[in-house]
Amino acid sequence: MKIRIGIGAAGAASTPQALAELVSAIDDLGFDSLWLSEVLTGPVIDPLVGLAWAAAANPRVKLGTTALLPGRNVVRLAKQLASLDVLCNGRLLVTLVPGLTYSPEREAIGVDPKRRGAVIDEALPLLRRLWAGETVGHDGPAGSFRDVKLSPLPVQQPLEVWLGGTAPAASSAVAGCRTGGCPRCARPKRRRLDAS
Amino acid sequence: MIEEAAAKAGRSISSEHFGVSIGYARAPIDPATTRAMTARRPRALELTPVGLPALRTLMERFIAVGFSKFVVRPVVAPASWRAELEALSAAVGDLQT
Repeated sequence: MKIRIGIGAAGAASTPQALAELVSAIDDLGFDSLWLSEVLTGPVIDPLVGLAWAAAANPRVKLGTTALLPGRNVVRLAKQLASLDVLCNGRLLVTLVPGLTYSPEREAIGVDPKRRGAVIDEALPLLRRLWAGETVGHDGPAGSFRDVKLSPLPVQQPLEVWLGGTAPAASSAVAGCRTGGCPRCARPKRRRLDAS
Repeated sequence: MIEEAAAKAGRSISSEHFGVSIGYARAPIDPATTRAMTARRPRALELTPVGLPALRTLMERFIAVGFSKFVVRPVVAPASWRAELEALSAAVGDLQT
């Protein structure tokens, strides 16, 4: 089992100076990766913009985002993440989350928390097919489109997605999609009990 | 929980693919930060280790039950990222394999 530690910036890397110092220190001190989370109403920079900046600032550090899936256009999200993986030459790590449920973040995301798990279930296979270079069509709550073929494709094939969150729907989504999980609840004993 | 759900879905998840994001504090959390944290997550304080030894203890507990990928984040903005990561590296860096 390979144990790795990434660094989450939270709201403490919202200036070019702070982000540059953080990226440089992660690289110099041997940590695994930089992580920027998406909180629409929080004091944090947009993760995809921030990681694109970090990709240009440092050629080695792996770049992780905890990004919202509900409320996003699936094709646009596929395009953005593929483009970022190309520009950072395959260093992108992606965790998709259902999003926080407190107000005003809940309203800003725009998808009822009870529906977010279903949105992830529907969108994730579409993302995977788009990133694999398939010509994809879809008609459902996650979007209606046809004959979409993504280009450029991610450098990483496949571009693996982790799913995260604290809600039971997040765990179910992780389990159903053959991916990894990154919860934000820090209760190891409880998780062990839940799994037994 | 995840393994149970995976079994129900007829799938399994690699043991390399369990991770957790942990917010930590270097010192007791001030009232304003406490209010902001609990407004977002009612149990946030309970789940936040205070002090780097407490962070290491928590990470070791996760490792003991099979977690291997960690994202750690200070809940209070550090004055210097380099100084923060130097302290963090001394406290938990050797857990990396």
